[in-house]
Amino acid sequence: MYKTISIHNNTYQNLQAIALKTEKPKSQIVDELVRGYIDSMKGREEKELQKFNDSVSRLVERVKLPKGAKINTEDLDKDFAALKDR
Amino acid sequence: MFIIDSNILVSEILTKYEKDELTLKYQAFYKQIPLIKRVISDFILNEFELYMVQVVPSRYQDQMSKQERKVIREVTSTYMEYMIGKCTLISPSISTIKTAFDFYKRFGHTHYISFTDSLLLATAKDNGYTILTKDRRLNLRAKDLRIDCYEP
Repeated sequence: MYKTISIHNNTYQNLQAIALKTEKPKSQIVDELVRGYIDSMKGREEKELQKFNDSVSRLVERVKLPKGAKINTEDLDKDFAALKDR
Repeated sequence: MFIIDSNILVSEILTKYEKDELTLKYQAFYKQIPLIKRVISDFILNEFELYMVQVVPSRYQDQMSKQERKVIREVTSTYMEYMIGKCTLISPSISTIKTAFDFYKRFGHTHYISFTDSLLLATAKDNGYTILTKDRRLNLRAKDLRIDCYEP
């Protein structure tokens, strides 16, 4: 995928220097740096996800629909269309 | 990275009222996606909010108290706040909107899809995202366009 981004000149020079030194394409250096960054965030991300899921579970418990209510989310458009008829 | 459709969000919030096997599979998969990899678009938040605050109370208008409707609005707002704060947000560019309209026209003659669904397809295509939706018709259109989509 081709995408343009704007980066500091220094950053670009350093990227070029790393690419030359390691004899790898610049795109591969960027891929590896981003992967390394994502890996370094993994532990924190897992904790955040757990906390997020717990918070959502508490929210879900607050929702009360009438007894016997059933939802089918496979085709929300149908429910929106029904709204027009009311 | 997964671009999340509104039916996944509604399904998570109303999980007590939708217990079929397929929904549980989608929810189990969704719950383990890292927040950074969940891509939420402005038009999906809009559709989610409309569904929760307009469609649900309208469907049960005679059976829901004012207080219960108020709770739905509060829960919807808090859930949106969580997503806006923690997930990856995206807004379609002008070229994505044009691509979406191309899809909308293209499928309008054969298999109608809403413009919101067209935007979801175009955003996924332009950014290389995988679509996470429970809508079978949308998954079929994604396949037509060679866009990745998750199916349990």
